[in-house]
Amino acid sequence: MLQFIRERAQSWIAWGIIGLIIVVFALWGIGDYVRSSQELPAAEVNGTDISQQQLKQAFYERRQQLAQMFGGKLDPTLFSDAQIRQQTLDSLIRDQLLLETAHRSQMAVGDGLLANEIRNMPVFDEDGAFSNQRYEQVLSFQNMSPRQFEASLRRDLMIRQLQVGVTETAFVTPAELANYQKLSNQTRDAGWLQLPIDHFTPTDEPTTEALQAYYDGHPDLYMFPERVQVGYLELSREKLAAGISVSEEELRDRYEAQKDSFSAPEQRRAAHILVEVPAGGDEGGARQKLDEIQAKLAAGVPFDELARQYSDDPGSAAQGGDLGLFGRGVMVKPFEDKVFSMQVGEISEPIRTEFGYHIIRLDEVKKDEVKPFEEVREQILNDIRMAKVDEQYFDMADRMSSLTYEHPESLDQAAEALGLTIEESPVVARSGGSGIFADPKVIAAAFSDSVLAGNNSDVIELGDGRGVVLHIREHLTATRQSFEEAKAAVSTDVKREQAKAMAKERASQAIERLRQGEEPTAVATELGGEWKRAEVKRKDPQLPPEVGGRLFGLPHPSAEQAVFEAVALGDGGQVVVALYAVKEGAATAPPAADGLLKDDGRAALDAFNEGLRKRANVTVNP
Amino acid sequence: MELQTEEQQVEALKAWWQENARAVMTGVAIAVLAVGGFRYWTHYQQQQAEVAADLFMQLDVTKTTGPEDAGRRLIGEYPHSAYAAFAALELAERAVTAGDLPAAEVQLRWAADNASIPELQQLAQVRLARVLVAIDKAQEAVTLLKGGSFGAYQGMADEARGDALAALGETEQAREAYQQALTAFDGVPAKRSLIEMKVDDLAGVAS
Repeated sequence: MLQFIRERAQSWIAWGIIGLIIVVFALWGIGDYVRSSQELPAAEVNGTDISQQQLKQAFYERRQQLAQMFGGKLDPTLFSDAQIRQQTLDSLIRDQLLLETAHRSQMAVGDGLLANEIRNMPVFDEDGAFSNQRYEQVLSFQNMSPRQFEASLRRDLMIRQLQVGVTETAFVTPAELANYQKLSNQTRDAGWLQLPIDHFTPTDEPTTEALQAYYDGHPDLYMFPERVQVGYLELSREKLAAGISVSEEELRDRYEAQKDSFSAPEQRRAAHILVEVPAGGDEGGARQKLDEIQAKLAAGVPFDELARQYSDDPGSAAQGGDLGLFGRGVMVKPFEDKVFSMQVGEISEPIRTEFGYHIIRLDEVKKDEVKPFEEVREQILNDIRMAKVDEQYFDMADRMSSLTYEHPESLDQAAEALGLTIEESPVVARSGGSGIFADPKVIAAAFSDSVLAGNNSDVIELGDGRGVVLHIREHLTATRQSFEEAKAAVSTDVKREQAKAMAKERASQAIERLRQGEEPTAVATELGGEWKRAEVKRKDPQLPPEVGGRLFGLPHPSAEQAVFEAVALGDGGQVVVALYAVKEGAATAPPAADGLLKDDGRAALDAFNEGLRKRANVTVNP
Repeated sequence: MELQTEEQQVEALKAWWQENARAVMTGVAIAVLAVGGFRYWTHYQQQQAEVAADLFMQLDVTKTTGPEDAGRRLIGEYPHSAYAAFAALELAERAVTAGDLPAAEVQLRWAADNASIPELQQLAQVRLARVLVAIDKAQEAVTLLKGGSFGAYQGMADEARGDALAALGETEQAREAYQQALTAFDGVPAKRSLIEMKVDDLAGVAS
């Protein structure tokens, strides 16, 4: 065997193998062989991985977008993380498939196209034109290199080309448009009589036999839900805080120790005279004005007066240039630097800022000073108390946790050791209740298998500084109400059914009489209603939606005979409808086609994506 | 295995090389040529694709009118590219907008036969059938729609078949086709309300 290999190894087979190996490594590198396989990818699409990392990032982006759309907060009942994750993963898979299809179908985005696209993005404009500097700035702000950005944009463009190729080539033929307008603008000449359910009251109280029969006939109705009653221990920060005292000495000590943090930063008060420099950059005029002011200052004219007369700062000129007290970080840098380097009473030489020239006078320096004890006493007291409460709370919660865990059959030991009383809850169903049962975590714990089996629950944090431990007292499984218990409810239901039947009967009587050619208005009045007649559009607000929908689904009437129909409303009321004539809709202005086009394009794209996904080999890892 | 000194090993290696130098060199040369050729070929492909992409951008599918030369070049010179199929779909749209339905028919037939992506073939077929209905060839549309398989485009195909049958006066069959379309468009309210409107209207013809 070895001999055989040895002989062949020197023949053409050897060259072939060597060549093949070189080709393989040159083309695909060794990446595929050294890939770390510690973590399963989120999904695999025709052999390409979508990593957990990619999914995570896209998930956070999507969630943030959604949050922004809904004003900063996401309602978790509307958008669960699991849902958002699923949608994100689907869209990543969809994009990957589109990209792959584009590559395979000889599509490409060249450098020219890419550059053009970037140049036309308004975010990178400075003074109305693309700026390379701004381009790099914006990208670095987004934590992205131009290379990364360009690669991802290229990807997006390619996907977009495919998408517009499908959606933007949609059309509506003249026949389709005409048909659509004929249908959607159609009106129907209709009459109707409303028979509301509350007009029908059964005259006789239903017999007990009738109630019993209804009760027996609906075995899934009249249930008591599963309910529990629990005893619980509650640990409350608020109650703990009430029992904590802080001595005056402690407060003093804390004050001395933390003196630094009770100081206010230095503030200065200054006045200024502003001389603006015109936008053109002509400083000559400004210079002249400054010279004039400085000459007058030298001559002893008061600063306030000059500020009123010369200053271009309308806010302060009237106050003699006074700007009030301010700390660092408020004024523009050169101005601030000057103010914080001056002596009180000093008047500066003109200082140039983006506003123009300032002549500044420093009026007051308020050194950083430490707030007196009395002023911060309350704050310190609070801090110390909170810290003590936290400490005590965590200590007690810890003991409560271990005691209730070590004695799972009862809360007594924990209550005794911690000096707490066991409280009794009301009876509550899974739908929740008030007090501690307002928190879904408590409901979940109360109905958990472990608690129902007679064990203490874990310590449940209620989020408002309270923690509770539950123990089951009584577990009432879902049971059917006895006939006696349910009787009142059964009676209501039976009466409602009777009323419904009466309404239906009345409606069919009405139709019968209308078919025979009786005058509708008279029939309606006689039956206790009002006959209305109008030319109705689709989704006409004059009619309840279910009636409008049915009306437009009725067969067209002939000239001699109208079409009659009784429509039941959701609450059991009836509406008797007569259709007298159908009028085809007229053509409206061209934009009517826009909606159709959009819907058609959208549907075409959805089907395109669906088709790709069906043909693809997609594995999703949980 | 016999022990060899270092010198002996070198000697052996030299001898082996003398014997096999030609073979190894040829192997390497073939590999280099193969890699070079492949690289050149992909580069060429990429270049071609970029030229086609430029033509596609010139055609600008977001417009409904305008010069069509770029589209014709795509179809003529890059028939295997997705751009060619899109060009044909776009030229069909422009023909419909201009009222020249027979021209649209020609373009859609080309796309239905030649598009490189199966979904685009299906889409082109459905659109072709709709154009056929508009030029009084509803029977041909029905045949086309009954014969093919439309994958994810089945809903659109069913709707078009309903339109064609309604145009032929085959009310019952049209209703059936629309019902199938409604099932396919479960969860697409925009499409459903349009089709429901069409179904409702069939009630009128029945009585």
